[in-house]
Amino acid sequence: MIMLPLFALLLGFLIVYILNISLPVGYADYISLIILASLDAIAGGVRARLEGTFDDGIFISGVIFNSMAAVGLAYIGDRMGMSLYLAPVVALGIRIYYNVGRVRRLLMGHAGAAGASPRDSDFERLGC
Amino acid sequence: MRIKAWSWVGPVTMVCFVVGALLALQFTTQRKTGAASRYGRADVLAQMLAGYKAQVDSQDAEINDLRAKLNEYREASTKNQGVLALLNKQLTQDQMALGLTEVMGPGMVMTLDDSTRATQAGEDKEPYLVHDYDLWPVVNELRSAGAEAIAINDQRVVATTAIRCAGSVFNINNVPVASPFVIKAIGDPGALSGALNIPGGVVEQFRASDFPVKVETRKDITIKAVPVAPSFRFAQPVPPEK
Repeated sequence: MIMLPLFALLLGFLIVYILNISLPVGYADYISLIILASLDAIAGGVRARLEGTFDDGIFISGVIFNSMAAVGLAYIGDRMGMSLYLAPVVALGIRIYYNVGRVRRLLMGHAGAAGASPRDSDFERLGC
Repeated sequence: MRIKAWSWVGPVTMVCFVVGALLALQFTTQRKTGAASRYGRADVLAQMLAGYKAQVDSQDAEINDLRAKLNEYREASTKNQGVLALLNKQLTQDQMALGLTEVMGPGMVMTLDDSTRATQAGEDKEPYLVHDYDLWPVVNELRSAGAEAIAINDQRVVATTAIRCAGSVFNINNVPVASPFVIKAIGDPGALSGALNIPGGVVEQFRASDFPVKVETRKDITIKAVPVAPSFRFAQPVPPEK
């Protein structure tokens, strides 16, 4: 069952790759942001699953709303001539690292141990 | 509890599928646009250039051919005919003035290339390249020193000639030319080279910025005719007043 998401990832990749679909370059930045937001949601989902707090409603809405927020911010930035797309890139990047780090420590059974990584409260203050 | 424990797989699988599809979309987009900018355009342009070059060459050959024929006809028709011979002489003079005939005579040859001065990383290279505005004073000096025919890289400089930057090359008579430049001029060799070499003159200015520049006087220089005679669409002669 754990392999199912990985197979889905591969399947989705292969289908689009073989169909050779492409978009105008102008949309590339937005698609990247959606990918980033989804990767963040997946990492967060896995973490939540390991912590026993997974909720599909929160997960799906997280994917959709985070993607929309990131793309919306980037779009407004483009209109204003300001590199606002960097904001979601940085925020989501930090979150992905945080979630992956949590998953690693949960899998190793050191969930509560204070390590070299920042404490959870540090990220909560950042709004992650 | 078992069902709840696995309930995360469904949504995560769905999102994973979408992410995979988007990644592939992104890869394909990047690959196509990258390829297009790398080969596509250059290839097409190179082909177009080769095509146009062949076209220009064949048209040049045709022009030379037609001019030679015209000369033959003129000579044949004016042999031993006083007035026509005189007119013919006048016509030859006018054609020389317009740059419509190949001319030869003594003069000088100036060679000029982009500056050899090494630029720092990030430094603007523009000041060390030969620009259109670097050639204008050269042509001006030569004309002022009595040059009777001038050519830059075999493009005859006539009354209607423009010397103008067009990207990384110049257009002279609408023909692209690029550095190194060979500027030929027919006239009094001493006067021509002297005009370029005067203190504070064009040659000294080029040397000050390390442009490789050389002026040589020659006894025999040949300068080609303009590729295409100027045509007049707007100007017409004013009828003489009576």
